[in-house]
Amino acid sequence: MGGLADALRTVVDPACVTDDAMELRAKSRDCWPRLTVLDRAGVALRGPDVVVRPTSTEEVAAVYRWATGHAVPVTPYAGGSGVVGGAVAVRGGICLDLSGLSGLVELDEVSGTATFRAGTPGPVAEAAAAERGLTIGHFPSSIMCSTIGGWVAARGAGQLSTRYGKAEDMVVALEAVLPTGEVWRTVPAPRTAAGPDLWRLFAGAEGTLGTITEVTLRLHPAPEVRRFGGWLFPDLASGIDALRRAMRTGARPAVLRLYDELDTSLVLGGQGMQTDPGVLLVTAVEGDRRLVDAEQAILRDVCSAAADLGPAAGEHWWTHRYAVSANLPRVIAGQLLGPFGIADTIEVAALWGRLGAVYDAMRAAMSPHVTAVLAHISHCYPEGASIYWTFASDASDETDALRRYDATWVAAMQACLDSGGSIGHHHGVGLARGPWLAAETGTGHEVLRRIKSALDPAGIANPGKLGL
Amino acid sequence: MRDVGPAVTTYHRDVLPEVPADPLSLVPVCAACPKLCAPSCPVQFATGREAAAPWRIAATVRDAARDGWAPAALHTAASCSGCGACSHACAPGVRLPEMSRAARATAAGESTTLPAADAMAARIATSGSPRPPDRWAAELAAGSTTTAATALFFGCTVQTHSPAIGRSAVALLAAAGEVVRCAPEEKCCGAAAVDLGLSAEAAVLATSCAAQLDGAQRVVVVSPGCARMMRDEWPRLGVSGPDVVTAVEWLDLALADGALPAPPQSGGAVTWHAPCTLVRLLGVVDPPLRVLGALGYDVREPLASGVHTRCAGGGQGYPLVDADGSRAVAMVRANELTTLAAPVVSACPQAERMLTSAGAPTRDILEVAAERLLGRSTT
Repeated sequence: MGGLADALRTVVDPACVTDDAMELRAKSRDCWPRLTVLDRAGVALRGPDVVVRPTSTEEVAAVYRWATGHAVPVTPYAGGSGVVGGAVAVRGGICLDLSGLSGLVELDEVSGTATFRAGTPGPVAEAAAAERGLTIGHFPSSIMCSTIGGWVAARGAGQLSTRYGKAEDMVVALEAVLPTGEVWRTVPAPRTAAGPDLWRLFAGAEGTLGTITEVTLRLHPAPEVRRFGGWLFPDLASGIDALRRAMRTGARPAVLRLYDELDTSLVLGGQGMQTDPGVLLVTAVEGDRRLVDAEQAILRDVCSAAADLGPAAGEHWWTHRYAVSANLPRVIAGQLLGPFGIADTIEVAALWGRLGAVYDAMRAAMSPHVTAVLAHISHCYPEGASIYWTFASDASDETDALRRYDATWVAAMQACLDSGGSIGHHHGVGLARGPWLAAETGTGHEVLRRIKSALDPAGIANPGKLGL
Repeated sequence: MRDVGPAVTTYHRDVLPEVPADPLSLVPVCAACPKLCAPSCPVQFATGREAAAPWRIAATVRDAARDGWAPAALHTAASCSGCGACSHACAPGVRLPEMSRAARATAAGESTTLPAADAMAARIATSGSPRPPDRWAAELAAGSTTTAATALFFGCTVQTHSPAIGRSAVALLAAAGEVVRCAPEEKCCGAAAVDLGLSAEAAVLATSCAAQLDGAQRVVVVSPGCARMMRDEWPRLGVSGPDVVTAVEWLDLALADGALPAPPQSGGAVTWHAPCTLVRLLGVVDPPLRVLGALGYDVREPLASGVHTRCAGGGQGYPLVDADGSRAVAMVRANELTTLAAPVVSACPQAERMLTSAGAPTRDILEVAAERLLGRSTT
């Protein structure tokens, strides 16, 4: 593919282009656990044919213009932190490395907004806000290697999303490059009724309609105080009811995490906290001291039927919330469930009235295929919440490992659909959920297909994703 | 009054995890990790290469165990400056520098070597040393004894490139009344060979160096890289030597004990670059700051300092593996340091060379101490 690299060196700065075999291999996967399992098994993964790392929006546009003209796929890749295969170049072509588009463009303290280039890593962006006593408020588990553009493209959610919103809620304006090379910049405003919010096409499009190159985010004052809590409910249903009642008051606690029985035993056992059987609710409230006091009072009220464990469990979760992400690689690395262990997470969403049924159905569907299935409920809304599943299993060999992995996902997705949930809350669609997207969105998938056809006539923008 | 700390820190621990008995034992865990250490790696950041990311280095090592070592794989596995920053961010406790070094040795054992390693092996075979003939060793050793209990060890970088640092060390020790022994033909400690996977050569060099130091009770070591080699690697090679103290630690104690003259009044501002081998791998964090304070300096530090310092790109043989990459790493750090608008001081001859060539002229703490305390320039 030296011809492709040579051709692109006439389009952008030659130093931005590489077809180094090791770099291509590195860019052949993101953090999708299925790919990690395949990688472990020595399966060669289809990857890009060339990596282009532009440093300007103009270069991104030039790449897309050229790619459309030559029908060469373009797959955006920034941090490569996605867990659903969204950054995998399934049809080869160009890996558009957005890590070169990094940095703060402007911070408007009066308006409480900041504009970042799309490849800015999360910690860098948050540090820029923190310097001015502000916060973005977006802290996904992937923050160490995820980027601003990726957050929006996948509609991610951070651990404090109940208070600060999801990635798309944080967007005031954005700049994107269409597959045909046009640069589109929206006008920053708190809200606009100047036609449909077309920029939202890019939120969740995962690069299939073009690439986000710049985002203006709303910032919040850094919290004055942060308080943690922990409660032990007798069962999941009573805990869910407490979450619903808390959210219906209008309170927006930063963190509400209700663990099911198995997850509770692991969390509390890991902290050396022996308790009665039950389910753990971890809470965190932060912000202006007056609001925090009010929210804490609401939580004490809705949790009055539960045992008050004090702040220890919440503080422990806060301190270790990123380190826990290292547990899944331990399984896949063969440390915990044998040499062919598998593990992954699945997040779904449902209305309060369906949440229990979705939980029961998914648990029943997944359990026969794997060693352990556990879940917590978080990312709460007045109308419902997300269920965040973790599954892990041993396996007899790599073939069995993949079979169990796929069977669990199929069972989970179908059970979610059948019980009235949404198949994805914040990890995105990528390759993992592609087979089920049309089933969930129905006519909406045809709408998406027509939009893509209009914006991407050559079909080069992250092909194979979103079930398209 | 805000009582809330930062919502995200890019490191998991302040103290490095222990080096596992088998440095390659955590390769599978690192290879499967969702890149939790991504903000830490100076090589990945400076080069923009995913192939240089810790997880990819580990995956390459894993794959090589199955597929054998191709030159490209070895180059990837060796693209680590040894700074250890990733280990601070790693919950499972991976020690990537040691993993990378072990991989280099393993590859060499399978007859796949780095190009720089071949050249170094040839030089060692012909001259017994990995470096060109010393130009200043005799000068630096002049006036020393062969029987003193304290040895002074300069290292390859000083002997080859930075004699002023060596002269400063000699002058300071003499001014403190220390009688030291310096070898007129100083043997290499073996670090350079270890860095390039030359295990057998490293063992021979280390043994020879230890023999040269035989009889000394302690050795004051100018270069943190040499100090680490003597303290951590020699025991693994079955080589024993005298107690190791870095030159900056010696200086800190000498100043505290009043063994050196008091400095004149304020020396103005300096920017302190904490060299990663010194602060992170050897744990010598506070002594340099005390020294600079005792010298009358107003010390400025970049945000990434102390145990969370950022690499200057010169460690673990990385400049010999990827000259462009190491330059890129150095430039990132140099840009960071120059924004503080004060002369840069460090305590690692290799870091100082990297930063100076990257546009941040950097002097060694021994040089500035000799000037401040003894009123002499040693260039």
